[in-house]
Amino acid sequence: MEESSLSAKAAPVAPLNVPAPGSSAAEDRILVERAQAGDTKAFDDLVRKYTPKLYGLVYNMTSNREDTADVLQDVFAKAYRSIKRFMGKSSFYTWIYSISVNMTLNFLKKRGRHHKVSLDDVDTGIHNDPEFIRVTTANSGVSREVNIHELQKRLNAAMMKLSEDHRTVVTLYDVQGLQHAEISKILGVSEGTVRSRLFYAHRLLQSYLEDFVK
Amino acid sequence: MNHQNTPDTEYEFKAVQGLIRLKRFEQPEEDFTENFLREFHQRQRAEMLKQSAFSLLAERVGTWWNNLLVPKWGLAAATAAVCVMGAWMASQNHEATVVTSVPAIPVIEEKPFIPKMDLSDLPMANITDRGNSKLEESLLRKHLEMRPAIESTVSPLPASGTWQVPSQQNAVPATHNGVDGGLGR
Repeated sequence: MEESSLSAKAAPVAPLNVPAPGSSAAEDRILVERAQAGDTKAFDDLVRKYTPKLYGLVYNMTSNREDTADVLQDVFAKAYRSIKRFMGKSSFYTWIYSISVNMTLNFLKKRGRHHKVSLDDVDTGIHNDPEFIRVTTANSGVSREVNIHELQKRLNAAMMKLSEDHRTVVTLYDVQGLQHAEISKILGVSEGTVRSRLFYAHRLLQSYLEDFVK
Repeated sequence: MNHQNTPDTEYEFKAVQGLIRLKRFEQPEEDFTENFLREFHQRQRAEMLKQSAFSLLAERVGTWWNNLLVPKWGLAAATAAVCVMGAWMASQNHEATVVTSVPAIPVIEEKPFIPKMDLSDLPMANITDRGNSKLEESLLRKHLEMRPAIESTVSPLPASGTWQVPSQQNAVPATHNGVDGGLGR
């Protein structure tokens, strides 16, 4: 079967883009202080910095690009209104992620469970990403376009089969590359709960994607 | 809960993680962020225009308050005290209004039933009034009126064969000592 060529057995996992805690947090603190003092340019810099990261979070939870853009607009609007009340007890990174997760979960509740993932929702932009192509077509001698498209569809479908809580931890841990402690702070649950949710989510994904992992 | 995996399971878990991590390649297009920021600014401006008159007023009051030179906390405390006093007085008035507005419950006073009788009509009503000569006379008269009827049932006619008209001279008290021993005196 063609899909077996997409097996993760041969695919080296690229390093995760874990946020650098040191200089990044200090840089954020300066930008936040300036934004709190009324510097709108500083807030724009925060938007520029966090939009790509939060896009990955929201997109993988909603599986829809338009919904992702709408939710992100609401997230930054809320952050802008609340920035003066941000006391700096946690990092800006944790704070903005918490807002994003909560607003996305609220959005998903409003949207309901009847939403179906259409083929149009699949991100076709990555088909030309050389790194993605290298990873997915390693050891493959089959039609690349079909496999990549099929893999994306199956991954999205598998993710959308998970409950919202399970999808959130999988997105934060596997896609965003956050540590258990950071996820527990963002979600406001214990690390044990994070680990437990991850375990069950991986088991479910394993059954949904068994064609690719066996 | 047992999270211990067999080597095969662990391998499959890692394979699943490897697949899921491929999703991080799903990034927005290059110009997405700048377009997003532009739209964000537009939405902010639109939101400002949609602000209600009240929120604008509140904002202006806030600005004026911040620029005020008087001791803010003192003024705030005084305002709060006035508000608390006003609220307390209002609550007092309200309580009074509530009390008066409750419909009065009719109080039924139960009086003992006392039949209206003119006790003065009773012949013995004023028996304790010993100095009442009229009473003595009326009692004597009644006695004398009833005596023949009583005596006819008790004793035969007198020797004379006729009844004397009762008078005070020939009257003999039925009881020599009377009620209190004074009758017929």
